[in-house]
This record gives sequence, C-alpha cells and structure tokens, in this order.
Amino acid sequence: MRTNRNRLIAVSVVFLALLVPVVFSSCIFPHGNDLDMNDVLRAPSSRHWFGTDNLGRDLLERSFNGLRLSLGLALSIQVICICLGAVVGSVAGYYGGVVDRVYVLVQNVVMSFPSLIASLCLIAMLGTGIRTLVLALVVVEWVTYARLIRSEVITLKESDYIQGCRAIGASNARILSRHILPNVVGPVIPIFTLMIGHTVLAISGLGFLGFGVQPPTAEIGLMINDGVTYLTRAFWMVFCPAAVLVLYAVVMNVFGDELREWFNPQRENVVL
Amino acid sequence: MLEVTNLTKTYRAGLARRKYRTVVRDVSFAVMARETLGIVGESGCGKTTLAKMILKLLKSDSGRIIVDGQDITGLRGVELQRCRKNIQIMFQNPESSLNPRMKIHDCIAEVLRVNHIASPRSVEERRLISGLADMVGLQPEHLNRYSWELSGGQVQRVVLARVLALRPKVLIVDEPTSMLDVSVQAQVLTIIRQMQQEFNFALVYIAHDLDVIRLMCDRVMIMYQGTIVERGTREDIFERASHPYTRSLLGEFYLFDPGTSTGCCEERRSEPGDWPSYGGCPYSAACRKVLGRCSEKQELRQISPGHHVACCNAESPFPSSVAGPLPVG
Amino acid sequence: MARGVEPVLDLVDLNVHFESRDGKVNAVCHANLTIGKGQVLGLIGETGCGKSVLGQSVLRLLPASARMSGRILFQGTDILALPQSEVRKIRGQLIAFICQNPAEALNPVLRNGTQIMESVKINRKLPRRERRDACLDLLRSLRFTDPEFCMRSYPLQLSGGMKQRVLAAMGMSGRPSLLIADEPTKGLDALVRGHVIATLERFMEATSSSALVITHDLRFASRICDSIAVMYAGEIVERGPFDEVFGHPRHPYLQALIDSQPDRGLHVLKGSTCSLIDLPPHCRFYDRCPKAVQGCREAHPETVFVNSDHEVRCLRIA
Repeated sequence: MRTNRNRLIAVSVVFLALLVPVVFSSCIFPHGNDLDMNDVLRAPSSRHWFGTDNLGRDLLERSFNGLRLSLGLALSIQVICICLGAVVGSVAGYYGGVVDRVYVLVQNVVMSFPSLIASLCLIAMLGTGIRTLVLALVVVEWVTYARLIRSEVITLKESDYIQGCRAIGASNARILSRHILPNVVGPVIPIFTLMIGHTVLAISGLGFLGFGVQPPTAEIGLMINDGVTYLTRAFWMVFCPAAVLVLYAVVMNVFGDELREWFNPQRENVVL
Repeated sequence: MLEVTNLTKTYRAGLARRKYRTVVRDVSFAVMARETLGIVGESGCGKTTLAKMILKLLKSDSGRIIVDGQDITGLRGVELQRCRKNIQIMFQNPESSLNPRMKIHDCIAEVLRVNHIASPRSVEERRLISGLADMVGLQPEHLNRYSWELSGGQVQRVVLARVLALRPKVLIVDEPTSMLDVSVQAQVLTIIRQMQQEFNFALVYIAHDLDVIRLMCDRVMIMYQGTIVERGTREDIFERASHPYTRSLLGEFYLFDPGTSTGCCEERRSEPGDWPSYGGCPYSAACRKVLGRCSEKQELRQISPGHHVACCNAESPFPSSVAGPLPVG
Repeated sequence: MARGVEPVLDLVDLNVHFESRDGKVNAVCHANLTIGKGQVLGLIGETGCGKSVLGQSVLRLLPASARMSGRILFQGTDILALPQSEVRKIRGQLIAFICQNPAEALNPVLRNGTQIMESVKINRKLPRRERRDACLDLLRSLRFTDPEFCMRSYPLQLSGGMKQRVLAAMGMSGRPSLLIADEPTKGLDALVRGHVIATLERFMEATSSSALVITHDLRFASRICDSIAVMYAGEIVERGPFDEVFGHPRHPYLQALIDSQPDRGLHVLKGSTCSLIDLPPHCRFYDRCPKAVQGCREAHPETVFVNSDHEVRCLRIA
C-alpha cells in the first residue's frame, strides 16, 4: 500500500504541475489571439517556442488556450454524463422490472445512432454555441456510464453484504448510495479518463465541421485541422498542438489508473 | 419463536414461462426460543433459498412466516423494515459478507444507525460498538481495519456482532464454518453457542456437515431437493433414521467414525445430478428401495412422537440389523 | 508402512520464500517429506501455513516472485534442477495436479468431453478415433454411470462431486505416478466427501500412483492417508504414519487441532496463525501453545525422532 501511495502522489504532483499552465493560461498566455502578419509561419525559435501559424499567432500560447477550452468542456461534459449515468444506471439495475426494461430500450436506441451524426443533428436543431455543444455530447455519451454502472449494480445486488444490509433494515436508497455506488467507482475511473480524450476529439471534429466551437476561438482540434493544409510547409502547426494533446491525454490516463488502484481496496494476495 | 408454514418457491423459465423448477416445496417447521434446529441437505437442495425466503430477501410463492407471534408474510416497505431486526442471518462466505470499503467500526455502526439505536458518531455509539466487539472476542485494533484484512473467523465474528446489535429473536446461520479451518470453526461455534445462552434467540443452523449438527442442534430436519424428507430430535435422526436418504447420509457419516455401527449404511443407486422433479418422491430416482407407490406424492407421517418421515417405505425406527424393510402402515 | 525401493517423491530441505511489498514471506522452511510407492501422504495445516505453496512448488507452479532452494527428488530426479521444458513434460504426464476449486477449474463454455479429450490428446499419442474411447474408459473407471451424458454436457450441469471426477479423469489421462490434490474437499459438501475419497482411491488403483493430499479436513485425512505431515507457519511440526501420529499426537498444535473437532469436544485453540513475514526466532507456536514453557521462547526447535518413523518439532520433547 505504501508504494502504491507514493506512486499516486508522484503522478498527482506531475499531473497538477502540468495542469497549472492550462488552468491559468489566460493569465500566463494572454497573447494567443494576437495576429502578427509579419511573423507568419515561422519555425519554432527562442521567441516562439512552438512557432507561429498562418496568421502569425504564437502556437504555444494558442495551444494552451485551446487545451484549456477543450479540457474544460470535456471535463464538464463527462462529469454531467457520470452523474446522469450513475443515477439512471443504478436505479435501473437495482430495481429492475419495468424501469430496467424502459432504460434498456432507451439505451439501445441511443447507442444505435453513430455518435457524431447524432450530435450533428442535435446541434443543427438547436443552433450552434457552447451550450448546445455540451448538451449534444452529453445526450450521446451518458449511456456509456449508465451501461457500465448498471451491470456492476446488477452483480453487486446479489452479493452477501448487500443482502445483509437489507436484512438489517436499511432502506433501498441508503443501500444504493452508501453501499453500492462507492463500490462501483473502480471501473468507472479509467473509462472517465479515456472518455475525456474521446470527447476532446469529438469537440474538434464538430468544430471542423463548423458545428462546435467557432473560430477564432483557440481550440486544439481547430488548430490541428487548420494546420493540415500547411503540413508540408509548416509541420509544427500540426505537430505542436497534437503533441500537447497527446502528452496531456497520457498523463491523464496514468493518473486515472493510479487513482483506480488507490480506490480498489484489495491488495494482491500471495497464494499460500 | 419462528413458525414457517408451507413455504414454496418456484422458478419459471422458458418462452411462455412454461418450464419450471420448484426449489422449495411445502416446507413447514417451528423453532422455539433457545432451541437450535438443524437443516441438513446437499448443495442445491434449497436450504439457502429457504433461509432467504424466511428473511424476506426473496419472495415466496406461497406459505406463511410468523416471527415472535407476528405474521410477516405480507409485510412490505416500512413495516417490514421495522420487523427485520427480529430475524437475522449469517452467511457462508466471510469474504463477501462485509462491504470491502468500510472499516469494521463503520460496518457495525451502520447497523446501529439504520435502526436508530444511537446517534451517529456519538459517544454512545462508540461505546456500544466496543461492547459488541468485546462480546464476540474481537480486539480494539480490529475495529480500525477493513474486512479483507481480517481472517475468515474474525469476519464471522464481526458479522455476529452486527447481528447481535439488533437483539434478534431468531438467528439463521447458513453454513458459517464451511469455509473456515477446523480450529477456527471451534472458535466461531463456541461463540455462537455462548451468545445463544446469553440472548435466548432461536437458532436455525443450516449445514451439510453432520458432525457439527450433531453437536449443536436439538432438532434436525433433512431436506432433499426442496422438500423435507425427515424431521425429528437429534437422537431420532442419528440413531433411528428411517428415510433412505437420511440413512445414506448417515452411512457416509459413520464410515468416518471407527467404532460405531455401520449398520445403517445404504448405497445410493446413482449420483444426484439435475434430476427433473416430477410429482412423486424426489428421492425415488436415486433410491434403492423404490416401489410403485413412490411415484405418488409423499407426505410427512409421524412414526413416533416428534419424528416425521416422508417415505412410504420407511424403515422401522430400529437400527437395521433387521433384514429387509418392515412394512410401515 | 512398506516403503518402495526408491521413494516416488522426496523433498530435501525445501525452502520457499516470496519477495512481496511488505517483506520476505517465508512460506516453506526446511521441509523434509517422503512418499513411497502407492502411498498417500496427507499434508495437514491451516489456511496460510504454506501447504498449498509446498504442493505447487513440486511442479514449479509458483509465480515468478518465488525463490526455492533445496531439492525436490521425483523418482530420483531433482525437479528444481530441470529446465522448464522438462518440467512441462512431467506436469500432467507423470505428476497430476488437482487444484482446489473444481467448480472454477473447468472451462464453463466448453463441453466436458472437449476438455477431457484435450488432456488425452496432450498426454497420450492416440489417433483421433481412439481418443474418444479412451475418454469414455477413463470416465467409466471413475464410476460414471452415464459417461456419454457427461461428455456431452457442460460443467454447470454437473454436481460438485461429478466435476471433481471429471478433473480426476483429466489428471489420469497421462498415467501419472504421483497425484497432488490440493484441498479436494474444500467447497464441497461433507456428504460428497465419500465420493471424493472413492474417486481418489480409484484413481490410484487405476494408475498405481502415490498421492500427496493437501487438506485441513481431519476426517477426510483419516480415511485416506497412510502417513501424514502437519504444517504450522511454514514448518513441518510432526510427521509419521497416520495411525501412530493420530493415535499419539505429540506436538501441541496437532493435539489442539484434534481436540477442536466437534466430536472431541470443540476445545478452542485461541489466537490465529502467525504472519509468515515477521517470524519469531523461537518456536513459532509459542504464542498459542497451551503447554509452552520458558525454554520454548529461547530457541528454535529442530525435529526429533520419537520412534523409528515418527518425528516431532518441539523443544519439550527434545
């Protein structure tokens, strides 16, 4: 346990250190949107660490601004999804019966739509903008969590200690909130970290199609898509923002893994 | 204290719910305070299902359950929650009996909080918890650990402490020591007996180990594929068993005990697999003494005061040095 | 107890320890065991005493973090000195291993027949046509009344005892000379104990093998074992022919174990097994021993012979 904790602390420190420039990027990197037509398409140098793009904007600053936006959006979307998925999934799994059947029907319908097309349709109906973007992605992605949590709840429902809780007279609400949900957290965490990366990609895809974040707002996906046209002349336009995204995705996944290890209270047992 | 009448549970499956399997059929028994009733049977005979039905963790299809004079069969919701504390259970597998994320202290506290016995996190609560832990023989440092850090025997003691916090009138224990070592079994069984002396609850001991049943139980009930096949006092069963199934169990049991008569040893014709249950005696497929009459439903008949058998062909209640079955009219 | 010319299995000063996060786990210390031809040795002990580790170490089935020293002589050859490829040939063919939980040892999505045929295929070089007959023979020798049904069905259609027999059939396919059964009655009804004993007896009859039975079930051991070894905290504390050792137990641990059985009075042995990590330098049973004296705290007991083949590890006897 001790080495587990040390690893978790180490990874958390790295993660938090990396988060600082992102969270405070509006203070640290305020010049992300400054055009400078004299400095167009410059390679990485001591003045512009990541080079400049086709409109002379410093890529380093834009990357962090963009990351802040993407991550922030992705995080909020996932958090909403988890909350919604947890409530619906656990109720459906625990109570079963009609509620469960209705939920499964809804789940199958939602999942049978390709996610990108479904979000496109929703945004087309509701208009562009950050709020509708968030709504569209939540509607499409909450089912992932609900499905996972429902299956975990169905398994846990039959275990001895839950039966014991029922036997001592605990109410269903109490059992769900205090005994079942905390034990379901484990498998959810790595999915969460994976889905954040997935959502960032979805946001950038929508942005490229004109349905998501609108230019000139800095957003990693938009930046990468802009840079593709200049790939042969100024590869850093694609490479630098992508590298930043990958770095953060990897660190997030490692952090998620460590967190899941920490939450999982079982140690490995030596077979005797 | 506990009276159960005609409990039945049938599982239905198949397209039009036409295939069915009766897991518990028409089980009735009663247990008094301070008395121990043993329920013996192989795995799959329905004893755990029976226990869960009595605790209302599973819905029974028919029958009545009366605890301490109160009929709890039809109770639901809040009323049921209030009556739950009168009847409690201890499960077989210590590994899954407690919430792995809660410390032992909190596991016991949960019982107190749910039943409003003491206010959460109060001095009173802490006092009660350490009192309970002491009673079952746990050390104070165990309270601060998680359930997976304790040994099987210690976990069963925690479960016992939790259960006793409610001062139940009836305690059902479902094979509490089958996963434990012999030395630990002795510890756990001794504590259960002590607690029964102190708290006067009725104990229903479900097991497949005849050793322990002989030691712990006043009366014994033998189950086979969901029905009771024989029922009586400890002496009735161990010395004067009449049903062919009981005799085959005892045969195997006594084989281990050098020096006792192997007279009641009876070989079964075949292994009980998943034999379909049809209207007659469920044991007829494996019984050596099967007759035409065995295809009819067998009722429990009294062959001596307090001793009932469900067999048309029951041996007379003497150790079988007598050749062949005696007609029982 | 008639001994064969060369013992089938001879453990000489076997030590097994694991490196774990919390320290060095000394699972087996200075174990010495001998099993003659056609003999059954029971290894008795509580959970956590190291008996399963010992059983698995014979076949080198332990995880990579295990460190073993000493000698494991199987029919004269030291298994610890063999390369992995040779050990693989021994596993299944010459030494059969039946593990603890029969319910989990069989693949639930494959028919029983498929699984038995697979082990026959690996262990015997038979053409395909004869394989099925070989499987049916194996099942018949284990007293299956309907081997065809067994082959066709899936594990979940069988009872615990029947699954145990299917595993035994798989183990028998290679005609082994040694069977290692790890807690064969764990998780099974006491009522099925008789069937397990019958299975093991028929297995040994059909293959004329010896057996190492690891268990904590004293009743089961009393029925099947010719000799026993009692383990506590990684050490063998008493060893000898069954009737001699059970009739005249000398080590206080074995005495307490026998007395704690329900039919002997259910006398409680207080406390629990000591951890295998912080082992005391003196007698490991000292804290729980009802007969401990001051001298027991000062030195570590070595094995002493009480008579020709009954040995005990206790300072009071020395």
